Amino acid sequence: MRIAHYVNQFFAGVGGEEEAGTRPELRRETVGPGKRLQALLGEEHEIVATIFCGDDHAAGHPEFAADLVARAQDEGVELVIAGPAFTSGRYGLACARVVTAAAEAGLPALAAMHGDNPGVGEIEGIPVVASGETARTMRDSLDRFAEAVKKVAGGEELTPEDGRVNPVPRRNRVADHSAAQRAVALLLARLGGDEEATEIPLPRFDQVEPAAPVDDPEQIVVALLTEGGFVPVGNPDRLESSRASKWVRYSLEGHDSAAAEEFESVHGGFSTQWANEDPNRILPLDVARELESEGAIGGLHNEYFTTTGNGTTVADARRFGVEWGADLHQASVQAAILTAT
Amino acid sequence: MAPPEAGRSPLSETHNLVVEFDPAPDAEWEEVEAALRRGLLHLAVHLADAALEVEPDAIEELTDPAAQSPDGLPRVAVVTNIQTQGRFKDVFVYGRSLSGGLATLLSPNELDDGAVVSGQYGHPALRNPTLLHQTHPVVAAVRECQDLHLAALVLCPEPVDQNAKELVSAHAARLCAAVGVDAAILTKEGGGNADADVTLKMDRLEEQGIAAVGVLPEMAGRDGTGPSLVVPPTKGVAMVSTGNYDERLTLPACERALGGDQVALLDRPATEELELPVAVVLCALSPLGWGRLTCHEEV
Repeated sequence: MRIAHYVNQFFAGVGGEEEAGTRPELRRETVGPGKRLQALLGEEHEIVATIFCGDDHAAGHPEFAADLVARAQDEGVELVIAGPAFTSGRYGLACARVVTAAAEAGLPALAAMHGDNPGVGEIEGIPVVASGETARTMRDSLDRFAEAVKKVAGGEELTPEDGRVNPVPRRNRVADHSAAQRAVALLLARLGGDEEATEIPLPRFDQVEPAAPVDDPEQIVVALLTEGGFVPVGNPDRLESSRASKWVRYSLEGHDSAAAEEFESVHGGFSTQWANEDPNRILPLDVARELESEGAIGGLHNEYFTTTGNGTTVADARRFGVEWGADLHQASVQAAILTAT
Repeated sequence: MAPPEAGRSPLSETHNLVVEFDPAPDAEWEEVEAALRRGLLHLAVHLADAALEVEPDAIEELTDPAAQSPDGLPRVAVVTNIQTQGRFKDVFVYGRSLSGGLATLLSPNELDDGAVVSGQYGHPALRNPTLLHQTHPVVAAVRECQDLHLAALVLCPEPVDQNAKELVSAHAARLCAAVGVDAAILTKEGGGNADADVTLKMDRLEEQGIAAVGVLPEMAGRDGTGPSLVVPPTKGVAMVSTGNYDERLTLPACERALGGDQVALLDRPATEELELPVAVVLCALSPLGWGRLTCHEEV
């Protein structure tokens, strides 16, 4: 298979931080870690191009990835690989963007980075194979990477046994028997002593540490947030009633209370009758304004954020959380009340 | 239904009658819901009338669930959670909502008599229409199995607060223990939090020494890498997947669409080519286990 290998400016030999603004480039040769990778891959697969970019440029210009993939396709590339990026955040993000662009262009792709690299979370449905934490583990990381490349090049799915760090996608299939019949078969297996059999592996969830109490609420600005699908009447930005893919923000200026003729909930997971009768039940603006005027809180942030927390995917919810946190931090908000429905 | 959803929903293998209705402009939603439910039942009676004098294709004799299990076969309960979230999201047992109530023990044969009528219209793929309560696929599959004795049907509300979920789950497990079942298969209706109504019961049943199997749709995200369940069980793992709610499929353009002109989720004409989650295909992920869809890792 003809392979394009993505590395950052450092591993391409251009330079360190001072060269992080390097523009995307393609070279028709193996560079840096690509040399050893080629040796490990043998003769069946050839790295025909090394594509690279400075980490800062890649972080600030997401379109670099599609550009590099298109140039690689001009070289007849059939597989795009990226890394290993170890725990380097910007490099991991760049690898994520490159393999995502490759998949969007219809090419198989594979990235290598440490499981803690934030780039892992940016990749959907494309395998990521584990590397070590730093370049000191280059030798082992490349050994594992090469084996994974061979497997992906052979059209095989990468599994946790191969060092895959992101989940293997689950896909819908039509079975021979109905779910009811399969439930009976599974029950017979369970009664027969099989305690492990299942069609759904148990998911693992993050544990979120609650924030420490606020020491001096009368000194700080508080924001109101809600996943209650809480929008101005008419839902001007068409926030979804379930499986929300976005969040929206609206001004609270000039509002002392959430009046029924001004706000409504479009949440699809419960009857909104009582919420819409008095929207303060979803976003406690009336009480928050009272606390503000009493001086119990330093002030109320002048806008609120909302999404619909109804079957929202964990990936989307995590992204909303990061974006809300960053936005409020920028606005010097020190505490937030997030009402859940 | 036309391809490609054929094979994805068991409704692609049945003859379907689509009823469209327009509520009177001044009608209260409560009245609209009741009228819709009664109207559909009247229509069903009207259709059944046509078959009244016809020789049956097959006759099935149902066993008495109260009878002793022949040859000491394992006694099985089917535990069916039904949605209880108010207007348009409620299911009726002998005309009453189970909202606010506890688990209720019924003879499974009462389903065949029409004890359960759906007034739940949300979550197309996760909907259990009246037809499926009356022909309950899990009840039918247990009846067909020569190695099991169907002993009880337990209907449970799906409360929306955690304390009530825990109470109903503990109570349902005690009911199962009280009637001496060895095993149970659990089903639900609706998405998200209704997972807990199945998995909490699996836990309480396993604690009572009753083997539990849950029938559950997955919400594993668009690419199938998200967590499949909102609340996983902690005491048992036996679960059957009816498919991933979030996976996308492309419906080709068609000449005629029934049941409405617009697809609300996308705000586009229903006859256009549409990319949609499986979640919108009626009964595609049937939580009563009607369909053949499942989900697994591609390895």
